[in-house]
Amino acid sequence: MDSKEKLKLTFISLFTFIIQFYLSKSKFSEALSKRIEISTPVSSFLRVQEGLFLYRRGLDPYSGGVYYQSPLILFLHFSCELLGGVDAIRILYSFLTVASGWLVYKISEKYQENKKHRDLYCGTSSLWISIIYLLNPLTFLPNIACSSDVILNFLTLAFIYFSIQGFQVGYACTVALSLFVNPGTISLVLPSYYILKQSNPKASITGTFFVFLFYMSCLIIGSAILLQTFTFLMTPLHVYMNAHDLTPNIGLWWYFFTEIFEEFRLFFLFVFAVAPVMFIIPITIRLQKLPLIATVLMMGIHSIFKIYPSIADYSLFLSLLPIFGKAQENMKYSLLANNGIVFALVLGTTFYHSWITLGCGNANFFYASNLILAIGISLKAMDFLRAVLMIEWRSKHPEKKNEPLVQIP
Amino acid sequence: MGLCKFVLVCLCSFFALGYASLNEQYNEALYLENLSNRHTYASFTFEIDKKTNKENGYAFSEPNYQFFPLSLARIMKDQKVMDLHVRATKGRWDYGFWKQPPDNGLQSGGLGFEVWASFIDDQDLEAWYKLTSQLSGLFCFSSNNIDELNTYQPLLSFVPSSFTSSHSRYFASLPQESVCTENLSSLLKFLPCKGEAGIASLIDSHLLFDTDWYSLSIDIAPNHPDDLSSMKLIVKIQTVIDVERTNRRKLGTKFPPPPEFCNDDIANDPLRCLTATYTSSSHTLEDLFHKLPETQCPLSPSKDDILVKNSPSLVVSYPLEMARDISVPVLPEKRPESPVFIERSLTNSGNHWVGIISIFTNPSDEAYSIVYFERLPWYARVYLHTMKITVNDKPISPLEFFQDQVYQPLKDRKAGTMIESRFEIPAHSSVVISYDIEKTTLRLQEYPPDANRGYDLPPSIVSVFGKDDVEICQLRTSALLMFIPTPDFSMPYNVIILTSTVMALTFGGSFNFLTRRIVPISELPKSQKPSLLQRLRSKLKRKDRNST
Repeated sequence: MDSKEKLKLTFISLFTFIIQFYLSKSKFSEALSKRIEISTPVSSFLRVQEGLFLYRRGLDPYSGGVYYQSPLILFLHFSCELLGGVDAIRILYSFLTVASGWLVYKISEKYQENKKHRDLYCGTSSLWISIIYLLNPLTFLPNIACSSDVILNFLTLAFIYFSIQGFQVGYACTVALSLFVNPGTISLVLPSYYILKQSNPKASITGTFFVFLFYMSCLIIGSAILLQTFTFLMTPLHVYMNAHDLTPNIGLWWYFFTEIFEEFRLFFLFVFAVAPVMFIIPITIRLQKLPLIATVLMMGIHSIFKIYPSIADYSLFLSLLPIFGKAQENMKYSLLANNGIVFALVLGTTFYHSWITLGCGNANFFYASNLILAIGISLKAMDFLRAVLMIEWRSKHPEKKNEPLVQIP
Repeated sequence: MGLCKFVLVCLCSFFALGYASLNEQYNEALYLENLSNRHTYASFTFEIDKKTNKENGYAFSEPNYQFFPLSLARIMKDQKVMDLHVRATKGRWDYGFWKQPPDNGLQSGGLGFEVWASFIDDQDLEAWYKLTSQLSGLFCFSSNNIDELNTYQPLLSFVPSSFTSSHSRYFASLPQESVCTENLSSLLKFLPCKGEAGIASLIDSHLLFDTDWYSLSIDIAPNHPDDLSSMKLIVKIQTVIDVERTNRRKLGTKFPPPPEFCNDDIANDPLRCLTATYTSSSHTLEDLFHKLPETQCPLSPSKDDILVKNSPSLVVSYPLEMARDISVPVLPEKRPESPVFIERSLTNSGNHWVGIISIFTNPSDEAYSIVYFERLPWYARVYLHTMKITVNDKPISPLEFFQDQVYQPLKDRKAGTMIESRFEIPAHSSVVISYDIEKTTLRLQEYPPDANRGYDLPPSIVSVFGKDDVEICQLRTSALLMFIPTPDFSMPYNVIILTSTVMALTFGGSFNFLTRRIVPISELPKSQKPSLLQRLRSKLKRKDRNST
């Protein structure tokens, strides 16, 4: 069974690799890399090219006001271009997407090894989950556009994989890498540490922390040596803290910070920065025994409040949700949430085109579709949480199988 | 006693006048040239020389001024300015029909207001801001709007041969500035004879601001490089008069049709066809300015103040008394062409990404060296790696093509982009430079009141150098109007409300599910058991209640 599945997965991943690499060489890729749903100021391929251009001319890539991403991405692209030109980057991105698909398969497989969890929560085979992830347009469109979110998704899946395998050093290393690329990943560190604790009871927090510190300092010192300046510490953080680049995207921050009055700017920056972080501790505490569910839930909630979201963030949440098939069956608002998400993505594209290209629409239409998308994702996350809690209660009280339940304060 | 005093005072003032007039000199001249049978170029030049007798002194440290405007001298002294140049222009110089400007473009600017200055020592931006705000007070330009967003420090353009790096130099431009009567009257106020006598009396602001192109310029610079003891102020008012259109006003409320509509029947009827009264072989001063000059300005030493170009190689000068008899002939020979032509435009592909394309054409037999100075505001984000260059339709890489490039990248809300490039354009060739720009939305308060008009991208400055690095001429491109997508200005409260609702829904939902405990309905405390009506309702909907 296993080897047959692996063969099928190999075939599918080879197929997706070839299709994605072929499409990313075409004009379609250039058109996609200018779309705002896919490339944001912190993941745009063109901005990486601009940063590389300045770096090759001997200037500090962070001195030109368009590049705010981390040095890791800069040097990844730089070394790929040295080795093989622009095609090498496309090969790398297609390979990373395919590798992410394999990581999803491995995560789901390891999760289903626990019989108790499998009977309660899982409904779909790991092969199908991996295929859903690979063929999901929300995943392969950012790959074709060479958006840096592909690297971020790969690193996120990598540290979840290492934590579920119980591999402490690998976990600390990939957490350091993903925090270096996007500091927002801090929302996922605590739940995934609990996954590590569950799969490897001998893992100690101090040991993991010191390994993480070691890798982080290696990254910072290495980047400082290669760039010969320390601006890379402040410039990416500055754009996350200050939101000075208000290019439209599918999130909530940009229009909010365009429209507010100057006196309240600092207050709302604080509120929006705290919003994703305040969910970490309650969810982790409540779902201590189900840390993978807590991680997936945090992914969903974090992607709503992210400062520059793109469809790649939503793809990770929506593709990992089918691992918990039984919980999905118990969700009440699936039709509403799924329709909301699909309509918001499709109509949002139309409204953006009408506002920007045709000049006959308004930014309000586009922002309304962003709000609907946020509501759809949050509805899915809340419904998922409720379904998981109901299943958990029922598993604890098997004698009260058929009684209807309600929640009271 | 009284008589002695009077004679003494007269003698003293005579000597003082004589002494002072040794150190200052005033000259004015009006230059007229026909560019075609319809357009006449007129330039009013007023020059004031100021010298100081002290060795290595600064001309503006002297306290006494006779001709030189005191307020300007004070500004130069306070901010320690070495040279100052101001340009205010409106209109577009048509290089195709009017050919090369008579001053080679060295004293006319691009659309709007431009100012650049060098300081004696290494001065910081504070001195520059003080200088520009004082200029705005003197000449009624809004140069007090000059801040770090429109100030640049060009290294390759505007370089006099004596420039050393210890002098700091700044450049700023306001392309949206419109030039009008208050600028002109403030300028004329600084001249010794004001607008009352001499050639300045010919200037009528109604006619001047109705012309196709006009430019006011002020240049204060040392006469010899690095020698600050002798400084010169040149005020130049240049204009290109459309004679045919100007003459329509003279006929009062009757506006005869332009010559294109005259056919043979009405060709000689002055009431119905302008060509009957309008001769295009020569123009008089009455045709051009609708009046004759007043008496000669007594402070100007020369008598022959009006210069007329009679043939391609001959300029004849006339005194003001002969103003009635002057005629400016239309020359049949072609005027000298501009060495290089340039066109710049926006290539629009939506409202998020645009491109800027500049086309340089060199039709002559010589190769020229060009310095191209381009600047853009910070909200037009330049992606320099997208720059593509073709020479005669063959692509060439920017590294090979540019001999020198100075690039100041943008910083959000702190500095705009500046690109200065030096390259050589070969003979009989055309060079096309294009690159992409991403537009960005601004904060609500940063939009001007007329946000939907668009933003002016300032004109770029092209300096053409011939052999031995001598500057031949300076060209300006047109200013570009760029539209930036605007949010809905009436929505701040609504946006805050709706977004906060979404956040609160998420928070409220998760708070509820995380903090509540689950109980079966049969175990609910009595007070929370459903009422009779609710139980009835639930029986009707029994099918839905089997699941959780």
